[in-house]
Amino acid sequence: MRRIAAWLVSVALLFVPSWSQTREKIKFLPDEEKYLTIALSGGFFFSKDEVFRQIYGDSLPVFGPHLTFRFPILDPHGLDFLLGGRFLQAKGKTSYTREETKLRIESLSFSVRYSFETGKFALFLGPGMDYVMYKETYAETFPVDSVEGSEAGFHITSGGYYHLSPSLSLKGYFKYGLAKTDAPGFQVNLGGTEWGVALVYRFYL
Amino acid sequence: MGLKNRVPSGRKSDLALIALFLALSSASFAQLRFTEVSQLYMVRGYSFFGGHGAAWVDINRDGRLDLYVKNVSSATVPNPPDILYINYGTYFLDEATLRGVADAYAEGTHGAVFADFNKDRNLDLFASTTYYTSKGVFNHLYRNTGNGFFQDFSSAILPSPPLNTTTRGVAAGDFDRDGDIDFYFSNPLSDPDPANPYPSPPKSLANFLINNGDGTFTLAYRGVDWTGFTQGVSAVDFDNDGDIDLAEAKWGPPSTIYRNDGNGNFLNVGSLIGLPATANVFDNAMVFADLDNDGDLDLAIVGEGAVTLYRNTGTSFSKYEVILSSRTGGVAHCCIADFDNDGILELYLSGENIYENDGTGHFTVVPASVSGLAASLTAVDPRGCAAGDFDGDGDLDIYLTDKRGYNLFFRNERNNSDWIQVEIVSDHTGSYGGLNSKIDLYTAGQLGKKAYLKGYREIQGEYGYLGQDMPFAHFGAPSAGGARYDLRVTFLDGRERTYLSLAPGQKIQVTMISPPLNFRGVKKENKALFYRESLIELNWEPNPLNTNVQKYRLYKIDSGWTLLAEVPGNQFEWTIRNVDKAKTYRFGITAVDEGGSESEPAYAVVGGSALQGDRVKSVFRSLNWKGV
Repeated sequence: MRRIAAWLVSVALLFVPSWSQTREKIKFLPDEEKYLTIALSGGFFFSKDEVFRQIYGDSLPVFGPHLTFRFPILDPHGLDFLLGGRFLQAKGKTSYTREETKLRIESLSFSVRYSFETGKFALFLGPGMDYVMYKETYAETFPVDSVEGSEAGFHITSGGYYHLSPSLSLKGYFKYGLAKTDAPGFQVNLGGTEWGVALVYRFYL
Repeated sequence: MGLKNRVPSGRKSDLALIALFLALSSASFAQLRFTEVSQLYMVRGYSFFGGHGAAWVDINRDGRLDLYVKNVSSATVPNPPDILYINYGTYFLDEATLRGVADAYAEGTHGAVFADFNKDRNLDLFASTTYYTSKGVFNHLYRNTGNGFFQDFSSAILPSPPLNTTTRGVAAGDFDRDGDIDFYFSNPLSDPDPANPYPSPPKSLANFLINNGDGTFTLAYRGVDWTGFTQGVSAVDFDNDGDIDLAEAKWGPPSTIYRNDGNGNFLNVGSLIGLPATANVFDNAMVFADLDNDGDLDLAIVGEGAVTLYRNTGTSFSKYEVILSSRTGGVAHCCIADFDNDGILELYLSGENIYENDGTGHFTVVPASVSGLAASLTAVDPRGCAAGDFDGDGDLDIYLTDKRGYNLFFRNERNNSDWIQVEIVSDHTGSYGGLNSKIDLYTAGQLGKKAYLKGYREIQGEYGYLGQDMPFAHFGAPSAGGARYDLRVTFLDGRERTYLSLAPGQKIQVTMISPPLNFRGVKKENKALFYRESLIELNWEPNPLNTNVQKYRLYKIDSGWTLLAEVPGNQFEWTIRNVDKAKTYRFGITAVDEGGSESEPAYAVVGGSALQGDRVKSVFRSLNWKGV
């Protein structure tokens, strides 16, 4: 047991100087630069609504583009403004008659994020607003053809970039959304969590 | 020696035999006892009189027989309304005007027959309008719209019915065997003079209303010529060949029978089957019943001062007995029924006595002092009568109309459980009442064996002279020794239903087809993400009594009955989509056979407080089955 602990400490001591050395040497991004990124993201959405999960499953793939402006404040701190879109489509079955249903959810998001940019990677965290448009289409035997509507919501998002080159980064993110609608006559929770990755291309301004 | 001493002398022996005979007779007669109760039940008719015909029918389907009284005008009172006495249990109220069947035209109504012509399980009415002097009158059809309210349906007759006819007797039945009720009316011409009843040649006039099955009737001639003034009309299958024949009692020409060829075309066969060819007689009624209990319909012709009895030999009628009337002049009508529940038919002569049958069709008068029918003998100008169990006590009561006096109502005091009644709720056509269905009652275990036949009936509409008995068959069925009975119902199309080992004291409700079993429903929620649908799943089980269910009919019941769906006969569930989650729904389901006959409904309540058993039936009955 002592031998294992000693081995772990030795490894840790080796990595600390190595990391600080890397930070200095492999810094891709210039300091205090404004930049604009475009990204294409993909991930999985985990709904908070029980009926949603019953009909469409526990997780659904989502994808969409992002546009982000970064304004450095004081290196390495900055502020990001993100405008994004998200698209979700799924097929399911009604709970009792097992008739086919189709769901399509499109949302527009705007986030303001604090970002910590190291040059090699960056971390971000911030709140945002969503505008969610939904449409559910039913089988011919169902009493109605479709239901559609829209609702506003909020979210908080967090994640990080790993810079592959001065122009290209890999992004990982987490988003927790809050959106509820009473429009059908009962409450549907459109919120949930979303985990995903994105490929990001950067333009310096 | 001692024995010899006890043998009575010849005179003593005669006296003893007479005493024994009287004792036996009185013991038999003692079972017949009526009480005149017309004032008690408020059914005396109008103070200006005019009573002519009577019909016992449950027009509002509340389980109690109502009474329709057909009236003609007096010298001072024109346009006499008919009377519809609604039975409220302990009293009757005239609601003819309220319910739309006052039929107050011209000189009043003679013949009128109730029958379910549109298969909605409600008895509709075809009423004649008497013409003497008023112009523009015609016979009327009335449709029962449910719960015993009527709507004039005469416009459904195409071409329009003839005006100013002098119809007396009318008849109802599926004459053309196409599965719905047609009508016949006598004297389809204007102003025939009863005193000169010999037209020459006979007139071939349209005198049938043929039901087209689509809510219209076609006025048609089907071979029954007008040969002279007709009084009563009866429609029975006298030759047991599966179609309905017509009998007309006439003034002048001999009364006769028109045989149906099976397609609703008729031929006068009176002279071929043993009926008298004597002219210049004045008959009022031809009444058919199985007087000798041999399984066919014998005949009583009611006419001038007598009732002449004819035995049905299978191929013809053979005159065998004459009952003389104590009244001078004509006798109008007779009711033949088992009034004392002894299993043998008696005969009540309008305005006279009741006659006891010895079981072979021979009749003996029952003194009014015994029968309680003394008031009957006081009737001023008696006309039609009708028998019906108005109080549901298992014996037949008699209503007698009087043209020149108050009508009389005789309550039967037999009050025992020696009876079986048969109500045909749905016959082979789906109609209520089962007109011309034949019903045999046998000793249990001996179904179909003639030696054990205990009674034979054919359901009739108006018969004889303007009488219509209750639309159930009534059998006296003695219960002594725990006797039980088998019953066979034969519909006009030949199909049968049998009921075995029946205990006396009950009314059997017959449907050509039985409702499905275990009909029930449950409300479910069907969820999509943005739509929540409530639906009702109904399911049922096939009734093993049915062998040929073609489909099931599902009805939604609220203020009326709405047909929801027709489901194939091999399917036993149905889903109703998108219902109100909070609402209570009521449903009825019927089975329909290949012939279109529809069963009584089974019921289900979904949502709300559960109703059970008779309470469910009561609620649904109040909603008027098929009163769409």
